[in-house]
Amino acid sequence: MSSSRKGDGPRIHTRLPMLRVERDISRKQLAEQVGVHLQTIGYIERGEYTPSLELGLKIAHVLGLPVEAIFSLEPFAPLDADALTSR
Amino acid sequence: MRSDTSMAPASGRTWRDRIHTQRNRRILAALYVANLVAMLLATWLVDSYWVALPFGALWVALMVLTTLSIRGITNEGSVALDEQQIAFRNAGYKDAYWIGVGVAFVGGVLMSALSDSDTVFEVGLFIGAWGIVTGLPTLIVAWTLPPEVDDEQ
Repeated sequence: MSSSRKGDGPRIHTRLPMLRVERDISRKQLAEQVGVHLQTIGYIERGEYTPSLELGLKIAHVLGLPVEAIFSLEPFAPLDADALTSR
Repeated sequence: MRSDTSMAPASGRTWRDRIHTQRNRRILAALYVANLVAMLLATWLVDSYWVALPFGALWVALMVLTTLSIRGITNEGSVALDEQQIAFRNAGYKDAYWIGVGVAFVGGVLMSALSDSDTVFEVGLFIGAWGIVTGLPTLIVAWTLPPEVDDEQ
């Protein structure tokens, strides 16, 4: 991943808002843990900004997940479908 | 900047919080350009250098406010910014380059065409073009930054 504004690079899909809320972490807390401004987290969540690989890995580390569980070039399948196929 | 992550609740927001909204950023950017155009018209209509003074004062105030509205990212070095701020800052300067080239070209053509006209207008034109070009990166970032988010869950 190379960092870019919306429209400047490939569209990156993210589950970050859901994963962050699941872990009861605010944008501000996540921003402080990965060393960025809280607006950066907000822009990433809304698809307005694509994070660098370094920031993506830092976010993945804080959330305790592999980076591909948070960001994807393809739209994520709905969660219920994930749950069904994993049974 | 990176450390400036504090946001007051929506109900208790100060003017410094409200200035960052996309609407207010765009209003400031539009006022900045409108003020310089008004100064240009004033120097055309009134043959006195003093007429530019209030516009100049307003220009400085609008420059400060517009810069504050984008958290000063066009004036900061990369060390003080995070990667998103650096990306928007760099894109602002890149976009400003070509617009600046256009403004400089049009300004130059006008200056040469009006070389026999009154000096006050020529000075107004020069200051107006200079004000636009120097403020362009800040204006572009103020206009293009997405709406900000609150720190709610």
